[in-house]
Amino acid sequence: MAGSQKKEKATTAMKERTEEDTESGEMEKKMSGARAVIKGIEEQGTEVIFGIIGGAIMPIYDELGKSEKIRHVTTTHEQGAAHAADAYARVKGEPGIVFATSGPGASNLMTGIANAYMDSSPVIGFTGQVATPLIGQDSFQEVDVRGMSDPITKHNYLVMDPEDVPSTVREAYHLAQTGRPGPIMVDLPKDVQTGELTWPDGKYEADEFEGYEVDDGFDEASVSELAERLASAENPVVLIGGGIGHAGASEELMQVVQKLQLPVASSLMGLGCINSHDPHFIGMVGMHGSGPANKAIAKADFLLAVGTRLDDRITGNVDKFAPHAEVAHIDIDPAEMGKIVQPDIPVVGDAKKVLARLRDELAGEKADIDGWWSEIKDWFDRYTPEVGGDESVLKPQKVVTALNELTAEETIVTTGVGQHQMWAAQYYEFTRPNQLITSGGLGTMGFGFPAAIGAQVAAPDRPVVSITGDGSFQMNIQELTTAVREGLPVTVVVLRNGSLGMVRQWQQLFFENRLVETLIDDGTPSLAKVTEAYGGKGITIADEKGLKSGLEEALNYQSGPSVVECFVAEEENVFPMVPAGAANEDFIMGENDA
Amino acid sequence: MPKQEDEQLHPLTALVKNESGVLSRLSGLFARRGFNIDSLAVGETDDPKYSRMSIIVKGDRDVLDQVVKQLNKQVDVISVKDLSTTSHVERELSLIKVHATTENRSEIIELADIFRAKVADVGKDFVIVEATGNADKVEALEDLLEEFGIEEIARTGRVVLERAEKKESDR
Repeated sequence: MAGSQKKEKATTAMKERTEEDTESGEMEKKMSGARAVIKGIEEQGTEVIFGIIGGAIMPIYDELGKSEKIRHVTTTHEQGAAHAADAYARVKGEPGIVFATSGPGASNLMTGIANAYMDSSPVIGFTGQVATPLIGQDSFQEVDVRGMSDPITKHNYLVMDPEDVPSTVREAYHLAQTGRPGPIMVDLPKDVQTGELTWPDGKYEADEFEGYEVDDGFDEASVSELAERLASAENPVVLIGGGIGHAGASEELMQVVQKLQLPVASSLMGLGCINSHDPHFIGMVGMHGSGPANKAIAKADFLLAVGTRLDDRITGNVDKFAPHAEVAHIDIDPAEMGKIVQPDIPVVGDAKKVLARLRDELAGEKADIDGWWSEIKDWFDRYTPEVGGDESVLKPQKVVTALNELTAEETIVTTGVGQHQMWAAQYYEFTRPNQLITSGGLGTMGFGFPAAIGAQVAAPDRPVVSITGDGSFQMNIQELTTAVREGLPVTVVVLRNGSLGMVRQWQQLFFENRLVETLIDDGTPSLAKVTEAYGGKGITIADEKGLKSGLEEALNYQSGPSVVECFVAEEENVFPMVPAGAANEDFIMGENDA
Repeated sequence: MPKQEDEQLHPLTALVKNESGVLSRLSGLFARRGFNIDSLAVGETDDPKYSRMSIIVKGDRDVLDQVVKQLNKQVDVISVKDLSTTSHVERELSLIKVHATTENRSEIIELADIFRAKVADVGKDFVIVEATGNADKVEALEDLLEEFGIEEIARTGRVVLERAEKKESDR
């Protein structure tokens, strides 16, 4: 790729010096704070950093330039870098690293960090800060990064002494990826970067970390009770979330599910943790969830929630959520127990370990819920939405369905936020964990395209498709520069409907069709032409006839990013839908149902 | 959300790292999660690496449970303990500047004496009374001093500590 070749040349000059340094161990032990940041990151095996250089982080970039182990991807906006690092982390299963300078560089990261926080993604942000004597004086490009990031990080640091750099980097990595994963911010004043330190002797012991402990165990008695109650339930439902993916617990989940023939519903974040083709899968739950999933949970006498925080998009009206069910909740974060739903059987622990134990506890049990399954099958017959329309209009759902058919099974799908996101969730059949990279918690429009960049960097051999809308895509469209520069063959499928569709849908349903400020087509350029101007491949699809060939052309384009601008039916809305405040089982199947 | 009638005051004690930014992060946590904090007092412990926080939480058991769990999640927090049902000592210090004249000064001092409060300062037309005790006692004294005219008041908020004997017997 063009980017890495350029870097190779640049680093050749530095090669000799670096080797010299490593030979005389003495020199390598004394180093600058900036070098220690890079050394600490190298020590963790990180190969890619996303970011943008700026004044207050120059010493660190100077050392980054000398590193032969790390590739840097310069994005066009820091938000793009943060989303890319977030997706990189989710695809790779290791921390995603992002660099930014002080002030606006750091504040531009914040949306991305908040996004990572809400979706429990291990992103570590390193930011330059003004020199320590200038802190607090409203200096040029100064912003209180630690204060700003307090509510959106698992933990954060302002490093005031170069000697603290090695331990801080190590702590940041440990914190980001253990227990419930989450983002960490490390703020590094310029004089801390240029100051000298001695790299500490010996290996770092992660568990010598005061104030932070990850409990490897769980309460076994609770799991026994859970097994007993689950096996004797008549209408049991399993509800999974993104925690299954974090824990790598899909296999154990399926062993439990197959043992008792349990129906499995999923949150948006859990999609793919059970193969969508699996007969036990009954669909997504919640606001735009499937009829069978929402009906089943409403009627369940036992709900096993695993790796989900049961947020409001899942529960709807929480008083009417699973009203007849005894609830067991498995999560690694003790604070999730009783935060929204008070569980009858709380189990704090790693989903993989707890489910393995549950599987063993169920060894002697037999499945006996045929009657429950025939009820669920009735709901499938009654509540499968129809996508009507003739060939002259391009239905957005059909675009996703076509994409689902044309893409390989190992494809990674990213999305922005809104109608297209829900259609992707409903009509694309996810078959593996972390295949869908989406902004679930924060609902960040503009997440999808930079996330596709991060995903493609993390998995160069897998196809990456971003399903997005005209609103979402334009929020980070500038990252076309990054994709072109890095030669990343991501395919962006824009469901262009000329509106901020999800909000427009709400206006139609709940604001008497007053479409205030949601129609954005006026002024929106040809997104295909814009892509061409950036140096990517732009393709336009206006009707169903051209759909398959257009998508194929884009998917086959490997020289850089391609953007398929699909002019879809503008009035199309997302159904089923649970109106705000209603019980999940009172979903509507269409406009006339409202 | 807590039901009004179940709301009670719960004393919590937390050992936290004595570093800059910790108080801000933790008080921010209370604010953003909508926890109702009646008072918050912080001071360094015998080991300067740590501070002890005394937090008085208003809410029902579920709210209290969440406050404890959310605090425990914080890396800066070493330990948290709910002292609601544990034997503990609770004190609050109040400095009360009372308007005083030569005629009623001795009356104010007498009143302070009854509450075992001290006179911290005397001026031409004021007395500063320093009262220590549990919150009820301090508030009772304040009520009585009200009729002389309270000019200013400064309170530490409640500080709480678990009784040592209880801790031993717990083991």
